[in-house]
Amino acid sequence: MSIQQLNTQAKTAISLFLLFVLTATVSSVILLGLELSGKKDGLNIPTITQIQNKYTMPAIVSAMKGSMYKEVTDDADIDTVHNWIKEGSKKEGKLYDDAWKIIQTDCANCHSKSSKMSKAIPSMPFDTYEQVMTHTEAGYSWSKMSKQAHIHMFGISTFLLLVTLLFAYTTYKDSIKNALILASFGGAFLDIFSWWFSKFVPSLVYLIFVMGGLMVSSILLMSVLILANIWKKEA
Amino acid sequence: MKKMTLSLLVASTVLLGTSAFAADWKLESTKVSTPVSMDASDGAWAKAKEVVVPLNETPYKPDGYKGITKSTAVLKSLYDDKNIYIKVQYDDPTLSTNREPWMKQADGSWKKMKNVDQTNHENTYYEDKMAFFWNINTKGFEKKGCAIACHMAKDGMNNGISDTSPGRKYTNNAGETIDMWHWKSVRTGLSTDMTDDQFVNNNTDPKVGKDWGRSGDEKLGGGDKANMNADKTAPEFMSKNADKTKTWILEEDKVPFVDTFKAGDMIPGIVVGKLSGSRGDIATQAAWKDGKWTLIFKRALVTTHPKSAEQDVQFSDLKKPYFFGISAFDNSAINHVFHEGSIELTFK
Repeated sequence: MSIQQLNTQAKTAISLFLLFVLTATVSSVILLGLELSGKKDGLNIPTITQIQNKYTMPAIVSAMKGSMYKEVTDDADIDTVHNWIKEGSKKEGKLYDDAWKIIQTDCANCHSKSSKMSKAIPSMPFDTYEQVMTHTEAGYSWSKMSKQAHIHMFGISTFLLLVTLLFAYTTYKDSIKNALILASFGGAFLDIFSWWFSKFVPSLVYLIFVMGGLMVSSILLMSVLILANIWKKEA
Repeated sequence: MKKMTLSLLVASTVLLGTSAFAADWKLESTKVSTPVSMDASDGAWAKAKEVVVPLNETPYKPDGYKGITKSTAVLKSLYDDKNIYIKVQYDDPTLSTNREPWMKQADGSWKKMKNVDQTNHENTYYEDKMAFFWNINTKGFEKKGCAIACHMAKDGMNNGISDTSPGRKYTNNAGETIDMWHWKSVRTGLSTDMTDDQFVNNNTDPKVGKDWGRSGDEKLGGGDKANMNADKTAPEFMSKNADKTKTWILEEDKVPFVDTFKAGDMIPGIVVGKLSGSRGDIATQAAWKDGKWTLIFKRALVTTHPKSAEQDVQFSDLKKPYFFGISAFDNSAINHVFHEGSIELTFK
């Protein structure tokens, strides 16, 4: 059996579904690029440096280098905050004074429980030392990773199952089908696996880059190939 | 799902380095050979390119605020050998010029009309305003715009000082200043065709300056003064030209207040004189029509007052860019709509 044997209505539904998948995939790449680069528009392919920042650096430093970069007065301020954290995030000394002033000046207008600014984020306040300390851990915390991993793995596996099942019933060679199905699931698994452990093994950020790219590429390719195959007349 | 999109292309080059931010908007000032009139319909404006800037952020949420929370500003600029001209048009559906007037009550007393918010700032009986921030030498302005000098209070504290205001303007380092052009429809704009030329420095001591970092440039005369008698129970003056200036009293028109009024009558709450000196550098023509303010600003490219270097942006090198930000106040003392980042002005 192949997807070419389906009736027109089923083919139409599958094609529309795949168009949604293609659009969603590209949209998510755009979103990730915007978040990591701090830019406001365009397709910004994530760089190794940006991925390193996100998965190996303290969250507050990663944000200052990425999504919040536009709020940072001076690049040297990011180093000051990072050095303060690397030196143990002590609540005393010049490093603390400098870092605290930067955080209050560049971050706390919005990151405050009492902020009423348009972009206020009262749920993530930087009003006290203790509140800031919750964002100084390198890489993702176990709690955040668990949350991110299970949401993404449930979500990705659900639509991957649909795409790969459809692809399995195309008329392409089995070797192509095997390769792309394994690439999509394998890429997703190793990508998320690397989120967890790159803060312990920094070189794993390269695996995030490659496996993330493999997963996205295979999803896009399978979707396009299914669309090209489903409307072909049966041989 | 977004995590699964870490990279679009497996074979992409490994890119390193950080991104540099340019100004969010660019305004070109076009050279004209003859001075431009202050008439917004002057044909010279057809030569100028426009830039559209969304004003979509506010610093706080006043209780009972009914003004705009977003607007769109359209800017153009021209310059000649001596002056720069900037035309700004922005959306504001209501004309607001009745700034804290006196109203006669049924029992014969007078009441200064106010309806302040939770921070003791007025948003009902006030005036429309607009402001420019021009960077002079403040680090980070090009990237952050006006936000570089914006410091919001947290739990009633600002920079370690107890303060009821939701936020204050001051620069972050000694010696850093910003030129502020503060157009106030009643106190400077419609009354005297001017803008209040102010500046911002790093002062955070309310004893040194009640508005913290924000101060007026040096002035030789003029300005506004509350119209209030010594007992603060009634106006001190009224206008001999009341039909012409219903919501302000010009200095030259003021006469002692004589109460021949009936309940419900209003007397302006402000006496206004034309600014002179450094504070009066900016001539401004303003008109509100069909839900839009149209303003024409004119200032010398270079000012020559004793403190011009620290208080005024100097357009002395027409080959370099100048960075600024704008905001609009809809009938509000301090709440304003502003934009992210900065606008870059270049001369062509």
